[in-house]
Amino acid sequence: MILVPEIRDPMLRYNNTNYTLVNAVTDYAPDAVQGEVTESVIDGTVSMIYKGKRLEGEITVYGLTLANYEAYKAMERQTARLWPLGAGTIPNTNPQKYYPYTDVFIVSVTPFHKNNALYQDACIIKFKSVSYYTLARANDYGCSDQ
Amino acid sequence: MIQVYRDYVYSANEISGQILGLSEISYAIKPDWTPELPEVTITTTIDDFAPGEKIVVAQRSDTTKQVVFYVKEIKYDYATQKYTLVCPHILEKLAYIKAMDIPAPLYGDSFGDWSDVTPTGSSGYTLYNNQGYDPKQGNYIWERKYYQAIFLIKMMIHRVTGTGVNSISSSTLESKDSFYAKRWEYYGVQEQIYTYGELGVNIGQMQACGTSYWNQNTNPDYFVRAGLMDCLTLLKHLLCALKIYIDIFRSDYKMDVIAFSSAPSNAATLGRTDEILERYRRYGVRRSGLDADPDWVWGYYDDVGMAWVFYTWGVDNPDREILESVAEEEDTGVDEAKQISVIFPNLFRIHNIYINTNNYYRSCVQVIKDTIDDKRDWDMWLAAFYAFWQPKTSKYTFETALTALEGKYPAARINVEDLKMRYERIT
Repeated sequence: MILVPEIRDPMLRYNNTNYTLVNAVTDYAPDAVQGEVTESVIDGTVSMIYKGKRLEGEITVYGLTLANYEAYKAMERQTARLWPLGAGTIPNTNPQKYYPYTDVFIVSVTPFHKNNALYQDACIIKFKSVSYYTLARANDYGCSDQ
Repeated sequence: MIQVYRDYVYSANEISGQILGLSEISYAIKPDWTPELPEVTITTTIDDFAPGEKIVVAQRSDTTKQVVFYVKEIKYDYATQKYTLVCPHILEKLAYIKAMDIPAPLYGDSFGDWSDVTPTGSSGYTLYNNQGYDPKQGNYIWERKYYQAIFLIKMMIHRVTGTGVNSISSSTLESKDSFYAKRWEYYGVQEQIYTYGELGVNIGQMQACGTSYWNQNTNPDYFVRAGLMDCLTLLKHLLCALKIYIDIFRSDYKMDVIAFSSAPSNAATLGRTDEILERYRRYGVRRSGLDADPDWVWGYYDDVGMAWVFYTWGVDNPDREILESVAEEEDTGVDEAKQISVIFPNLFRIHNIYINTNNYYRSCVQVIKDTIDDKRDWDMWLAAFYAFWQPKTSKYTFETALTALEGKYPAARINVEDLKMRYERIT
C-alpha cells in the first residue's frame, strides 16, 4: 500500500451523477511534468523551466450501454471529477484520508467496437487534469452523495 | 570559453549556467572612423534583472579580457517563461548623458571632491577643462600632449563604467605629441611650438564639457540652445578625430591608435585601362610639397552642366567595383571658381585643391585660410594636421581635371576619405 490499499474501478462524476467505470482499463501518466529542459549556451548547464505536474491519460471502458455511452459522450470538452484509482476511504489513517481525486478536462470520448459489430460497445476517454495536480491521498471523499 | 557575470567578475555573480542564448558580439570601426558598439541579446531564465544592470562577458582563462553590457530592455515571454535582455555595450549609456554632465575641475581644483581621479603630477589632467574657444586653450597651459582629449574620454568611460580613471590604459597614447602645440608660459612670456598633427580635437565640442563653472553654461537651457551633444556622440567624434579606438574587450579599456597598413602602390591600386572607363578620363593631381607621382581618379568635365563628374564606382561597371559610391555635390558658395574645396570628413580637416591652369604646374592641395579669426593659429594647426595626413592620404587620393581644361570651373566637393576607403577595398 502506497497511496491506496487497492486499486479500484475509476469513478467519474459529472452533472451530480457518479459513474463507476467497471472493469475499465486505465493508462495514466501521473505527475506528468510540464516544462522545458534548458541548456546553457555558455557552459552547458542543464536546468529546467518548470511549470507544474498534472494527471493525464486514457480510460478504456468496455461493455457500454447506450445510456452510459451517451452519458460519457456528454462529458466531452467538459470538466468532470475523476477518482482515478476508485473512490472510498483509506482505512487506518488518522486523520481520515480518502482515495485521490481531481477535476479533469475530458478531451475526447472515442467509441469503438469490441465484442459486438453492430453497435459501439466501448470507448476511450482522454483527459487532462484541469490544474496542476500531483497524485496524493485526498482529505475528503470528493463529493457529498457517496 | 567565456563566462557571464552580473555586475562584475566575481564567482558568486556568475550566471553562465542560466544563459540560454547569447547573440553575436561585434565591434566595428565604420568607414567614417567612428566606432560602432556591440549590442547583444541574452536569453535567460533569471527573473530579477533590472534595467541598467551590468552584464559582463569575460574570458574564463583571463577575466581581464571582458566586455561589459548593460540591461536596456527586458522582454518576458510567459509562454516559454524566458527573459530576453537587450543589452547594448555599457558605453552606450553615454548617449543619455549630456556633455555638461561630465564633471571636471578647473585648474587648481581638488580632484578628490568629484571623482576617484588622482592623476600623478599636474601635467595635463588638471588642465583638461581649462580651455577657451580658440586653440590657445586658455592662459595656463603647458605641454598638454594628448591629455586633454584622453582625459575627457577617460572621464566618460569612468562615468558609465565606474572604472577608475587611473585604471584606464592610455599609455601608448601619452607618448604622442600634442596636436595643438607644446606651450609654456614662463613669467608671462608665451612660447608656442606646434609640433605634430596626429591629434585633433574639435575644440568647439570640447569647450562646453564640464564647464558649468562658466556663467553662460550654468543655465541648462544654454546647452539646449547650443545643441550640445550627448557624450556618446562626443566620444565617437573624439575617437574619430584622434584615430584611436577603445579596446572594449579589456577591463582597462585600453586606448590605442587605429592601425594603418602601408598604402598600396598606385600601380597596383589603379592599374586599369581606359577601355573600361571609356567615358572617363584619368586625371592626376599632386599635393603641394610632394614630388611623387600623381595619384589618379576617373572623371570628366561636363561642359553643358558646367560641373565635374567623377566616376562613381559601381555605376558603369558594377561587376568590377566597390559597393559604395560617393556623391559629388556642387558647392555654389565658393567664390573662387578655380578652387575645388575638399572637405575632409573628420571634423575639421579642411583643404582646398587649387586648380592650376598653367600647363607647367600641377594643382595642389592647400589648407583653407581665413576661416577663423586667429588665422595664424589656424594655419599652424592645420599645417600640423596636414603634415600628419599628407603621407597617409597621398597614395589614395582624389583628383581634379587640372591642366586639361580651360575656363571657369564650378567648385566640386569630393569626399576624399571615402575615396580612400574605396581604394583600400580594391586591394
